[in-house]
Amino acid sequence: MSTRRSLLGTAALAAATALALAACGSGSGSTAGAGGPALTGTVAKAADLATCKPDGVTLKLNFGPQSAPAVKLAVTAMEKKYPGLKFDAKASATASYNDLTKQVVSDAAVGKPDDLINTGLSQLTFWVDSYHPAEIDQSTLPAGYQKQFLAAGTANGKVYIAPFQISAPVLLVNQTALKNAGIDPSTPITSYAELIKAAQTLTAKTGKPSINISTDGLPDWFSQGFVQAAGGKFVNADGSAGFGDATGVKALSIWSTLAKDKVLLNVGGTDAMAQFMAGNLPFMAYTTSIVATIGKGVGSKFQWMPVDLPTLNGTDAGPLPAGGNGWLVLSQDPCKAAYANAMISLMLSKDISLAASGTGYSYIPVNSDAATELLAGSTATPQLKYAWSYDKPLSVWGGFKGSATKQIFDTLTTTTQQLSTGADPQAAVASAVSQVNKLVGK
Amino acid sequence: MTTTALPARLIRWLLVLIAVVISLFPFYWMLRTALAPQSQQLADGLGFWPSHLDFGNFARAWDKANLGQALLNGLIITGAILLLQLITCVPAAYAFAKIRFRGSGVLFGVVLACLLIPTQATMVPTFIGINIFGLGDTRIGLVLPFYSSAFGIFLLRQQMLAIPDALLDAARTDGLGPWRTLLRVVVPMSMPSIAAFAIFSVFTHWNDYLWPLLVARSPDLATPPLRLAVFQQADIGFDYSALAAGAAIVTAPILILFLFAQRRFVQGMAGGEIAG
Amino acid sequence: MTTVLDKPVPSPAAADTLIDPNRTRATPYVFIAPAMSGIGLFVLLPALLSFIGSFFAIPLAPGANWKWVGFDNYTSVFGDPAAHRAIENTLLYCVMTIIPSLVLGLLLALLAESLRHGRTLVRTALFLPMTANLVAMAVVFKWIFALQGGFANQALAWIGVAPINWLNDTRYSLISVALVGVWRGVSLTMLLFLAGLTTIPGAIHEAAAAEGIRGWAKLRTLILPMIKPTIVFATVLSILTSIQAFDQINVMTQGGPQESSETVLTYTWKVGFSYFQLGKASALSFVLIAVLIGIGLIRRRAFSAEQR
Repeated sequence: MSTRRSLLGTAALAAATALALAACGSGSGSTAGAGGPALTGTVAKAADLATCKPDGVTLKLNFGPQSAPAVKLAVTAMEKKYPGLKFDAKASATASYNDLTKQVVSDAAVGKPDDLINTGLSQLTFWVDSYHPAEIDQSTLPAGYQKQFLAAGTANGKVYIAPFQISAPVLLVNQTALKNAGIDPSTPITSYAELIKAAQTLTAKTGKPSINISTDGLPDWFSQGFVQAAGGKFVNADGSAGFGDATGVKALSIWSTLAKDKVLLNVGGTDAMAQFMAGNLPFMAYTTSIVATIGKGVGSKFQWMPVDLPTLNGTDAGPLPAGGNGWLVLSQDPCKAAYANAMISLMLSKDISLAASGTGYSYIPVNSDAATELLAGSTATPQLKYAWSYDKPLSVWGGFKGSATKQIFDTLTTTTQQLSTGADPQAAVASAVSQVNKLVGK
Repeated sequence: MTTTALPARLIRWLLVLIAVVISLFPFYWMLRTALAPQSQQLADGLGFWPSHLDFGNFARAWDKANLGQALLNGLIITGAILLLQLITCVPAAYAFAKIRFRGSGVLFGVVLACLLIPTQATMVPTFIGINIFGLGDTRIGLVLPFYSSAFGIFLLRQQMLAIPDALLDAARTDGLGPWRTLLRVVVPMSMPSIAAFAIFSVFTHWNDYLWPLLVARSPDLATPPLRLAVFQQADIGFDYSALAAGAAIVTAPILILFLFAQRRFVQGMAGGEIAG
Repeated sequence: MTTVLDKPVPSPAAADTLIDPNRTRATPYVFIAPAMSGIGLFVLLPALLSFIGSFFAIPLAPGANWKWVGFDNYTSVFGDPAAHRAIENTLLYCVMTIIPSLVLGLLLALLAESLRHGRTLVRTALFLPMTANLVAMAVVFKWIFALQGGFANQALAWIGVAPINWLNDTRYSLISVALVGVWRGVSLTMLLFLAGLTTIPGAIHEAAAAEGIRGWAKLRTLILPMIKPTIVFATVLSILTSIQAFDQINVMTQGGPQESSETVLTYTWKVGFSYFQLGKASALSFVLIAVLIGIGLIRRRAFSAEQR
């Protein structure tokens, strides 16, 4: 009996403390959207740099390992240019854009908001919809910056992300394996039909699956690429899912067709990469940015090349989505925002662009001077040249309602995984469309 | 003891052998992968023994995953938690075992009930609370939620119940106050269970993944398992040789500790369960 | 640990009545205060907060308003097919890990106990999985279960079985992570059973031998009843461990493919910290806590009913 009474007492005490805590929490209440994340305070408009003093100012950066070498150079240059300015700039361990977003949100939540972040282009609407970031100051873009890339960071007609490292979906081809299977590697593989036929031939020869299109790392990117290249729409003008029509279904059926033919290697992206580099997997859909890594892994084991991603009918009926990342200013302090803008300008210049798109990560250089220098350099292998000189038109990546970015990503992961087991594309795509529309409220 | 027939003994040994092999195989495979040259990792017909040993994988894992820093973090955090838990749990266990006071039954009931609520189940509110106090992404945030342990109180109390009261009486007759009795009589007498609990605590918090995954945002706060997990999800994920080497580095300290302290640990843990 | 729940908490020794009451009145409270404050702040309070929080929309940022949403979070949890899937997977995972852990753990404990030589060595070998870092071992198991080049499929090839896509096939992903759970779980239950077996007095074994009771009959009529508390304890501990499975799932499958290995805990994690829906995550947490406490209560009731 006494046990029960004291338990009640304990519970009441705990409840009182809890309510007190909750009340404390809501004390300085700002306008937070229900359910979604939000920063405290608002993103500041950049001040005039001339009015700012660098002394005692620390810029906090968030970025993945893919930008680390470039950031290191930029930090040194900034510290030289603005003596006294300090940086909190340690690369995150994860290269995943979803994880990087999670980190920035958590940083803000733990009271350490970032001033300048390197974010995946897929995250554009997430930031624009929930954080109202500052626009990129286009007047300070450096010489040689290829302004056509700005489109990949533009939402509602305003540029929020300054694209920094750009990539495009490609097909990696083990040409030696093709030759061994009696396929002439110089014959282009541009359509699904040609790809499927080659994959079948290879599998018949080796008895092993011959192609992987990753479903765990970038399912949204490849889906969008296939649909748009087939002439379909991934995101409708009203924000609803546009890939449910006949074109979309046909474009996305590539996974299920390959799976039904038993030529699809259904493993995670990193496992597939290991298999490609070991020479066990002749085809792999991946990104131009990984070409350098693959080159190092393959060495001289076999001949290989990145080629344009095959499309439904063999012709590009629409642009592929731009992969990669860019810089976004989230600073709540006008002077910090000004320094952040200055830093962006520096990072898009030739010298830093060289470090962002070189032989470590083979992104498409955003600065044309950097591209010229890289292509003329001694490190330019045919594969890297392909990556560095990629110039096909690219569209925005994603574009659905921002607050559901990760949910939509997960939905598309599930959908592509269903297709990878040979599921009926009509049903799988229809289910994806209805889930996405539910998430975006259409 | 009866003598068992030979065939029965053989079968028994065979079963034991199978169990031991299954139990140890992942460890062996980890070492084997870590010691084989990276170029061999996907070669067809993986042998049970690498063609030649390559310690380069360890260097690669150590550098790329920054394991030195992670091990240091692990040591600091595990050590701090252990110290705090001993400071809080030993006196509490003593009070619950040997001192009669109002509400002791009820309070101990609360302790027992808390054994059923794991940290995993309460991570969301704990995380929110840690954030409200600005402790996210700090070492304090990694340590604080574990400064006390219901299991610790429980386990230590079990052993302390067995301390003869005559001893405590003698201590009191000698003029020792409760604090000195605790330090000079109870603690030395409870060393086996304190050691067992210490090992348990070190195991638990060295191996903890979920809480650091939530709280440690900065890479330089990462604990060994967290670092390893991030390492394998990064681009380097295809480098199984380095991953296996990293796994070996993260596993080794605890494994060595266990080998040295096995007897203590097993006795202590077993004691805690049965003495109840 | 929980076996004790059903027994009356033994009264502390009568000896301390001798202690001068004036001097010690406050002491026990001082002794327990630090520890109890920790339990209150980081176990009881969060448990309660997850209940309260489950009725709010909670922004991640500190200082932002909690918004009352009534039962919306629960409606969202119970109307969410992904949550149903996670609950179903958790139950399946429990069945796949708890039963083998208990049966194999007991079997191995009996075997290890019966050895006359190399007992210590065998025990050490069998205890090791319990101590290993689960993240590290999951990394290793991921490689063992790799579709191509993984040891598991190579072993299957030796006996002429076609390779299995352990981690990327919806039919096998949960089994794969459960195998890791069993590998580790057996180690723990074996330790507990070994401890339980050592409490059986040697005289009982001698008496059994004299009566000619051995083998299965001895196990059923003598040993099992005698180690009943251990069995109950090991069962509860196995249930707790299985419900909390997270590490190896997070590393090996991330809950996939197609959510086929998503459990309540990994799903709570996703909802709370990837979708930032902390209110819904609180609701999921509270459901989990309620189930855990329920298990404790049911078990306690069953046990006391038996004793009566």
